[in-house]
Amino acid sequence: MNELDSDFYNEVIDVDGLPDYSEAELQPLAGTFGRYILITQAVYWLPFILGALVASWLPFISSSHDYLLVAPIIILALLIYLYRLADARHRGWALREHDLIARSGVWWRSVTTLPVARIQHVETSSGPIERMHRLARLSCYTAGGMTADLVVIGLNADTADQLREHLLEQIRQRDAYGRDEDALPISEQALEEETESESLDFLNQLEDQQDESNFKQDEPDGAPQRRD
Amino acid sequence: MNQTARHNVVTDSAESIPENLQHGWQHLPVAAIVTLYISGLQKFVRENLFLFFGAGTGFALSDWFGLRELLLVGGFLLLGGLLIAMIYHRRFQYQVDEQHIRVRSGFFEQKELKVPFERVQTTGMSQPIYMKPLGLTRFTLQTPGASITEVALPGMPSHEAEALRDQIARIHNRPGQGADANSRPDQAENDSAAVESTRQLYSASNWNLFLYGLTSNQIWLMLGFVIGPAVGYLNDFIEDYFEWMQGLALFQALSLYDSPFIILLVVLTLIGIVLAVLMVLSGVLAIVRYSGYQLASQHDGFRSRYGFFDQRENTLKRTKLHSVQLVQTAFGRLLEQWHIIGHQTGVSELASLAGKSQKFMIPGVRNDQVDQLARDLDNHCGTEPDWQVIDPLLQRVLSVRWSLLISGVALLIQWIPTDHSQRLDVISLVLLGLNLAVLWMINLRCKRWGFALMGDVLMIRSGMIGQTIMRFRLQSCQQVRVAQSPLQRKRSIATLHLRLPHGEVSIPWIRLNQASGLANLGLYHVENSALHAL
Repeated sequence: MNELDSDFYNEVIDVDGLPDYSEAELQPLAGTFGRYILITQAVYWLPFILGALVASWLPFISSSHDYLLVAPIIILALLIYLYRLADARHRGWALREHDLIARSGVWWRSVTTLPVARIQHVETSSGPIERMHRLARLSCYTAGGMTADLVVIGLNADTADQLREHLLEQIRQRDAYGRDEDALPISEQALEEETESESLDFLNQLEDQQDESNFKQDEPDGAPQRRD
Repeated sequence: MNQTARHNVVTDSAESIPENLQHGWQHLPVAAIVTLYISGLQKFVRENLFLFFGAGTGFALSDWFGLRELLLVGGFLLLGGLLIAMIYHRRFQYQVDEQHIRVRSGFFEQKELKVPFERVQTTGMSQPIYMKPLGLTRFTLQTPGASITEVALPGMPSHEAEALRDQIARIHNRPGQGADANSRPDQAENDSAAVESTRQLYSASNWNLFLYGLTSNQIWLMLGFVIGPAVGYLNDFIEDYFEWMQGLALFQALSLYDSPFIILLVVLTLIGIVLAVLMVLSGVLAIVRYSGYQLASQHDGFRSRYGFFDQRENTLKRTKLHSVQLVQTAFGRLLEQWHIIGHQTGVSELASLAGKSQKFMIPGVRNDQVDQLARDLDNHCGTEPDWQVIDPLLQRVLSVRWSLLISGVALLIQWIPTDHSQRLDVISLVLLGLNLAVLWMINLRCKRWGFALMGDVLMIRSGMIGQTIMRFRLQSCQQVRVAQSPLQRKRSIATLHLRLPHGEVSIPWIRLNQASGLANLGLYHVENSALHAL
């Protein structure tokens, strides 16, 4: 998280010296997310498996090969479960002072960065099973887009709430300062000075809060490597 | 209140709001009923065109529905339309004060909309030919939140529309003018300053507009519309023609159906003629649409004015123009023609699909003008772009992928059990020829793809025979994404996707350090700029 402490260079833009998004230390998903995947997958596949079991009792299906019907479904369910697990393991997110970073994808991987300056509104949402595991997802919307522009899933519910509040506060302050689009960059500087210490405190606090039972994360071999 | 009095108010009043506009709610002029009626009818016909066609054939077939009934229904519709236009006019009210415009409208349900002038990013005025004698103008406002025209005043007196436009422009200038000497409220000074700072950027001659029409892609759209119905007709025509020719003594000797080359020649000639007619038509349409095109820069934005039947005037705030797209179609390359599209915040792709976008369009730009014009538009006096190419691996990957696919299909076809195995061979050969063509296209496309960075302006070039160059300031990015496939990871290559307010642009297959460098630079510009998305 040291990267967060360094400020932007102000005068000459030294591209190599810019804060590198790929150096940001990504947080893994919450530890309970694995169990959440298991339960959702079970709930999803159970009717199919039951249906396959019951099907063999029907008169027009020969009952000698029950497993032919059930086995493929179970194998498919297992494969998808494993895929979801791998997917969760590769996901990660990070909040920097000025943007939110999310990584996703098992084979085709991508790292998305959404500047806070472009977020229009933020929402957290959670389904019943997610709530059982104290999980929530955070969706960030930008202007012009119809769908959410960045969704971080598998967050700890408290973390998600704090993130949302933090981002909303940043947006509020930005809007208060940056109401006039033609204004000089001074407003931005003022904004930075004011919120910097605050947001850093918040980031440290978040870091402390990450409990030890976080989702086990693969150290990504193929995640964007450091530039040379 | 007569016209001259109003005019005096416009030019002399300190705040320059026409007096009648300051006074409460008011209606559109009575003459606007005519324009409402005509535009309503136009809209009705356009939206129900297919229904009309369907109904037309249906009526033609049924005996009981004669001319009398048709006239009755038509008359009923026309009268009903007039009634609707009158009610709409009666229910439509607007009010202008110093900072806002309010519009009340709605047929069954009254809606009231209040738009602060500060939020307006473009104003548009259009005057279809039937509005001219009535002295009316259609006035539209766009704000960034809505993806389509938010407020439309479908028929204001022209001078009021102009006054309103100037008033909005002045509101926009106010904060920026703090440093200028023009900040005094003296209106005459202000106006002359505005006139002074207006600079003619570009005007299109009819010949250039004609060339634009030839090269623009609308010709292919027209071809699509024409070719469907035309094919059947053409087929009949050709058959008749051959019979007629065979009837002539001259052609009796050679049996036409046995000489495929002559048939081919005739068909090609016919296609050529149709294409030529369409191209000329397209050129003429472009002249009519963009007749007298003029683009001027004002201190806070741009103003374009054009149109023969439907005179339009669009203004666009400079800060709202987030990217400039330079397009050269394949034909355009031959004729050295470009057109430029200015993309603005909030005009989403969805709206442009619905045909409702108000793209800021500059047609008929010559090769030697395009660079200067693009610089004027994004206010960037850059150097020659230093184009960086994408990784050659992409061409290899695409070539292998497509070749495998096509030759796979060619092999599969060989397996089809049939009596005419010779024909299958021909099909396979054709497929292999297609494969070569695809490889050539991939080669062209990959060679064309590239990007160049000039200060904070990024240019992305793509295309095959023609080309499209997207120019934008990095600070207008809304989101940055670096994506990698397994192969890309192995080779340290990445694809960079940048989300702009109007859609996504990407640079495929560049080196990972280039991609992340651009991403970091983009984020730096976004996060360090005072210019927010809205």
